[in-house]
Amino acid sequence: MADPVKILAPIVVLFVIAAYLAGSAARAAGASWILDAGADAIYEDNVGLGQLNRDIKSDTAIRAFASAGPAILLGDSYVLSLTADVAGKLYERFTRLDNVAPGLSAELKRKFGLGAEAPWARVFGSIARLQYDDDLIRDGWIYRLGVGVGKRFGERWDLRLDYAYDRRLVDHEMPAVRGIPGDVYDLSGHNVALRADFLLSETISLFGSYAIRVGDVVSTTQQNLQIFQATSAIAADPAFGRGFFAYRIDATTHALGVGLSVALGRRSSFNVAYEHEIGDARNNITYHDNIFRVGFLFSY
Amino acid sequence: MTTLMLALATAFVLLVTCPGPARVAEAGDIRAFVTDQAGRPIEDVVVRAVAVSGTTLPVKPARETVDQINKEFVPYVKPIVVESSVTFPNKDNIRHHVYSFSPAKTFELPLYIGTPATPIVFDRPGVVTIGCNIHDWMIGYIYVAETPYVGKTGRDGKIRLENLSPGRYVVLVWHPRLQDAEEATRRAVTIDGPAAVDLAWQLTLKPELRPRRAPIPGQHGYR
Repeated sequence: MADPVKILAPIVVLFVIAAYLAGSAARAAGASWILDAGADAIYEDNVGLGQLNRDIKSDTAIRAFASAGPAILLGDSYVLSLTADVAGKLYERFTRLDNVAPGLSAELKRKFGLGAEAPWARVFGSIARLQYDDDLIRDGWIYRLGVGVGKRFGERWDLRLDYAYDRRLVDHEMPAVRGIPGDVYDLSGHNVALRADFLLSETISLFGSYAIRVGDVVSTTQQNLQIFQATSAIAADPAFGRGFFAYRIDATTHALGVGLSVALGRRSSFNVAYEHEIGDARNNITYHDNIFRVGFLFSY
Repeated sequence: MTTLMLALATAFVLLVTCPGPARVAEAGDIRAFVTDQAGRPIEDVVVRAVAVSGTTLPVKPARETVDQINKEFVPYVKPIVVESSVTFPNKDNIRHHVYSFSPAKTFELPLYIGTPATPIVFDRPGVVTIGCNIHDWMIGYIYVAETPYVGKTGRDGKIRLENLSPGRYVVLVWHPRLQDAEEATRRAVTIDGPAAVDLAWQLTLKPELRPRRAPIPGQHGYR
């Protein structure tokens, strides 16, 4: 079993060095600082993305996260943001899914013109370490690289479109079936997300989104021929109990989301969001997942 | 002797028959009080009095300042008289990029820290909306008035325009969130003495829908 301390220690050192260098560069460039933090309570009615009633498991989790780093203005049009991020999630029922995810993010954003309604484009990337409490099949790294565009329309509307490629690599391969790989959380996917924000009043903002992801997902079920025939990797998944297996399947996931954000002063907000995911994979595999979030955000 | 008597008589006749010197009317004040629909005082309401008769003080351009503090324009609303110059000191330790698209004054101060060397001269009356191209929620207003009798309300919703020359005036109020046209707030007053004229407005304000500064989930990045 990998020692989390051995993995996390160099990451922390890396963060400190990166933060120092970024801070020095930021001061030299008259940059600003990003400091975001927040916490959510999350209820998910199908944590393991099961298809059959016997496999559908719900749970509640608490998530906390923070990002900090400089935003460097490069000329009149470009902003380069570099942040060190950390997120942690604690589950009420499936405690082996508890995890911490330190990472680094970068974004280069360009605004085309002057004013709040000027369109913008961005490229972004991130890397994060996924470290689970006691779950070897999930420990690993996740990378994300993407581009996006956005524009504000009038006083109320804000639209944005993002494309991102994500890649997740696992530390351990733990095959459960001879001849079938066991690196179920070795995943990749292409994501396209469209989002609209509507300013309802001075303090209340509504948002809606649609996202489609084409790529690998992991569904945890009990033994199941239908998913077995569609899988490309299998591993035992004790996080959900004895007799559960994680299957990697190639799926198309549609996610519809809506939310409400209430400003609490200039720097914080109270937020409620709901998302419905529908996953479709070959062999007539379909799953649904409803996710509710209630949380608080702070931005310095 | 006869000549002297004649001169004294003439002087007496002139003294009793000619009117005395014209009474000099004194300058007066206007006291304005502005509230919202709920009767709460409104801050940052620009009140201006425009002469329609009589003589007025000349409009004297001034040197004014609009600061940037903690990623906000301070003051939020700045009334000035036409031809005044305004500097925009950046008192944050980050850079700002101030601009305006308003017909009354279009200008741009690209990224800077400190105080720009050259102030901006506002040579046309009207409302100038200013923004920061880096921090979209930063919005401020400069009200350029063609009259020397201009000011804005404090937190108590009150403003006193002082030393208006005698005559007739039109008084108007303006606020960034004013629902109706400024012209609809027009009031006619006559200043003919030192007693202050009291005026009150109850305005309907619309929501302020500028880009939100408070964080929104999913909108990461620099704010």
